[in-house]
Amino acid sequence: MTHPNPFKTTATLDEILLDTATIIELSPQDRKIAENRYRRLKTHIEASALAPFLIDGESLIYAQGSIATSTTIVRGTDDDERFDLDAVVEIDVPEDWSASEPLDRLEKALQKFPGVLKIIRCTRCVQLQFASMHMDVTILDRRARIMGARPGEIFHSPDDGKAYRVPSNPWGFTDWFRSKVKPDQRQFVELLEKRRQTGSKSRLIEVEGEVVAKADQQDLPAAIPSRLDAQEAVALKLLKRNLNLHYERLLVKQPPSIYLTKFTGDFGYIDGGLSTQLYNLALSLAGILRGHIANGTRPEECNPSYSRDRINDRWPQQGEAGVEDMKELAGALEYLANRIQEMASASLEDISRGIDELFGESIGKIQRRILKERYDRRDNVAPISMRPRSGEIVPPAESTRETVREVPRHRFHPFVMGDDDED
Amino acid sequence: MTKTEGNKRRSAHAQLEAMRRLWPDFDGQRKASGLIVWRGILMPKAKVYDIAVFWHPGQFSLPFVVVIDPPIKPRSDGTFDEIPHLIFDRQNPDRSALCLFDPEGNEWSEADLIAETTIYWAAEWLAYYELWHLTGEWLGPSAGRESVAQIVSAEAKAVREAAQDVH
Repeated sequence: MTHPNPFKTTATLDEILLDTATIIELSPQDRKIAENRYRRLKTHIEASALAPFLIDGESLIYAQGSIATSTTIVRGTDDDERFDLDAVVEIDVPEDWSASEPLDRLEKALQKFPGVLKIIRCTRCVQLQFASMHMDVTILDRRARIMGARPGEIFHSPDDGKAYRVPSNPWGFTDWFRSKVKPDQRQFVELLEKRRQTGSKSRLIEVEGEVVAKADQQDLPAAIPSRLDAQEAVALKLLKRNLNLHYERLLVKQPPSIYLTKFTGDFGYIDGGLSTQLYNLALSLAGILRGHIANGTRPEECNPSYSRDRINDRWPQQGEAGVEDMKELAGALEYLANRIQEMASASLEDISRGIDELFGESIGKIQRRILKERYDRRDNVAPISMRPRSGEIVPPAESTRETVREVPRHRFHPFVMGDDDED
Repeated sequence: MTKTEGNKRRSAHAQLEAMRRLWPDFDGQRKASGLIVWRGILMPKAKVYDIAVFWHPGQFSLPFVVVIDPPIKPRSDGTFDEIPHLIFDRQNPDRSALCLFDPEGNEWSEADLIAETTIYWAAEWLAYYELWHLTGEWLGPSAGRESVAQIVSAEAKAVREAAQDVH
């Protein structure tokens, strides 16, 4: 028989999910390296043939996408430890340029970028490939000076077919998302910071350490927005990681990260902890998709800061293929929610199996090591505390604002009942 | 750990009252024999446990804590006597009491309140029991060998070595 949980707590699963999130995110060291890439991009573009077209003679280059919303995660598979970053370069595109010319010129301008291994011209960006980081650079034309939070047009320029302009407002979207998360999650932030001290995994330093060493010598304003340590953003990281693994095995098209980010912003904060946030986030989005499937409609999300910017214009696909896209995502989200629900009342072993399955075995292995180190008191005398009523163990050195009681010092000891001789 | 002056034994009333105050979800009953039994729920880590605490003032040398539900179990492919820190009951291994302190370390006496010691240690034991199932290692503070299986193994080794000396 399994007892119902009278304490209504998911503290252990929350703890393990928070560990998992710190493992998959950019470490503080990785952020420094990423920061330096943005700075290098600025100086490189300003010295390139694109310089005459920069607004007011100075390039406005900024982070967009997950790095701007603080939801960047390691790309996906157990063997792929890459991070993907996005940057916007604002320029005044001359009227006589075709819709494919801005990206052509950007590709030329980015040649010989320091440390780059390969440069790929993509449909809407130019991708700089580094050893363990890809940076997608997009041109945004702001010549029209549309009112608002820096809206403009980006360029869709496929290998085959006609190139065209696409309304876009990444700056406004970042502002919108960051304004949507619940403010003042002080206790969550403190806990996350403590977990980072033990859980962060620096992936970029091993191959790009020299770059960050140079970056540290410069006292420049931040090129990437500060971390957004909110429960909503952390849940989104976990959801994205799970979907990356899910879609890795499939040929169907993965929903764009910005679509998930938009939904996370709309959905808001859920009281009850990280597990509850992730569970409800996944299940609610699945419900919306099921509704579209039943009604023969499709999600059409607009950027809240600029309604002409349709953020999921390429997903789901049109027609029956789009229905399959939605079914695939809804099914994946429902599975994630169900597993989180099961894990909320499961043993540590079963939770660990779930972490392996949902977020990858390599991540699960690191998480188990962190958990073991956190509670290992064999060779130290760190006090351990306990929450009243439930008897929930509070890890050593993990202070909390809540009332806890310190467990009286003692040592466990075995013997056989009825035996006079104890060990 | 609170103790009365001069290590005076705590009365049944004092133990019951402290439990009521600090662990209000535990139900305590004093039998006609003088045996006190508490039943309650703890959730120290991932799982919820129903435990029973037995204490007979003046009769028992220590309080006995038994996990009622879910019953304790060895790791997969393991044996009950490998479970660390039990007062091992060979007849009913899954009803073995938890061994929560080192008797030689003067860590507990009848002057201590069960509510301020035993329950804390039982919750801690359960948390480390879950971690043991996960990692295969007892990560909590220990005195001496961890399990009865280790004690028996060590004794067997000692006997073998002694027997070799005889020959």
